[in-house]
Amino acid sequence: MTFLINSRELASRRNGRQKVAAFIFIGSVLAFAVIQWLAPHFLPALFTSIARPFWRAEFSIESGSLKSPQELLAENEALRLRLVEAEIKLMTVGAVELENSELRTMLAVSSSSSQFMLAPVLTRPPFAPYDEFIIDGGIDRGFSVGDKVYAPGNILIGSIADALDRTSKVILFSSPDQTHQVLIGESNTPATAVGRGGGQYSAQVSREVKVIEGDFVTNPSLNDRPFGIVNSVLNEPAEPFQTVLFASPVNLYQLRWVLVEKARRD
Amino acid sequence: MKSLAKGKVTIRIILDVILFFAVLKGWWFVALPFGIIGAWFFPYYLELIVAGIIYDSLFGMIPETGLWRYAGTIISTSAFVIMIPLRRIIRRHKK
Repeated sequence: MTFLINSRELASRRNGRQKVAAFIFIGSVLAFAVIQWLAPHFLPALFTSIARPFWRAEFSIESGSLKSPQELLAENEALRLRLVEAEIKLMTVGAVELENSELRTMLAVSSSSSQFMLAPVLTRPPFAPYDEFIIDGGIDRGFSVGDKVYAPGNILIGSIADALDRTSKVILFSSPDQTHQVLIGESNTPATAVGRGGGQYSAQVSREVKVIEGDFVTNPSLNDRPFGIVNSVLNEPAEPFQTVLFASPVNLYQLRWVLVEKARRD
Repeated sequence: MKSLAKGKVTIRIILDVILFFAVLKGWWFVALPFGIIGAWFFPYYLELIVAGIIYDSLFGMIPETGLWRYAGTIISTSAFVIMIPLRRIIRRHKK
């Protein structure tokens, strides 16, 4: 049987459906806001636990899980050779470290009270817009907000901004809007460096200061290792300042492992 | 008629899988166009909003870091809301 529906009834039905849809939509937005307000880690923890197996699988494949035995043997041999070379270098470093610790004892400087832990990088820039790393390991490994994160070579690159159950989000020092007080070049010119993303920074110094490509940039408030290396210096004749562009000594896009410095919490 | 609906569902599932893996990889530049395509072709393509929320849950949403860490959710919700009247207006013009 067919019933004719007049246009007014049709319009009121459509209006009713639209009202229900709008009500559901607003309700969902409010529910989302309330969840975020009451339990800000609930959604990140939930979705990260779903994503983690995929990231782990990808990391394992990238690490060579699918390589042939011959390839692995050859790689193993090459690594053995490099290890021998590194051991020889380490002997020299060991002597310097011994001297360093003796000097520290003489000067009554306490040794580092922190502990380093290796963590694989699950996702990294440039694809993520937030310029951050997600590393494998969170509260389960004792990581917490504020722990410093280093690239191999003890180069400080960021700090943990959020620690979930089994993963952590690392905000890089080069994230946009992050500012740091740095010293540039041999003359140790103080400047404020602004993060530009992907391990890149910019800073402005007076035109009188001599800065050249390859100069080291340090950040004494963080550590005494190089914070960056000057890439280029932009000089505009009309400007009283020159812009110094520098980058982290390591390529953040290629990092697969990082070291997390767990501050001792006694 | 039945096979047409089945085909639509299959396409929607394929689109959802692409969206899911793009979000997992952090490829917003893949997820966003596919999400918009989905919102254009399918009614109430809520997967677009869900993708935005998952994206921010994975990569953003750090407490006390401001609203810009919710960019994925805001952009996907805006795209979803804009697409509904836009579809209607353009389809009415076509008729």
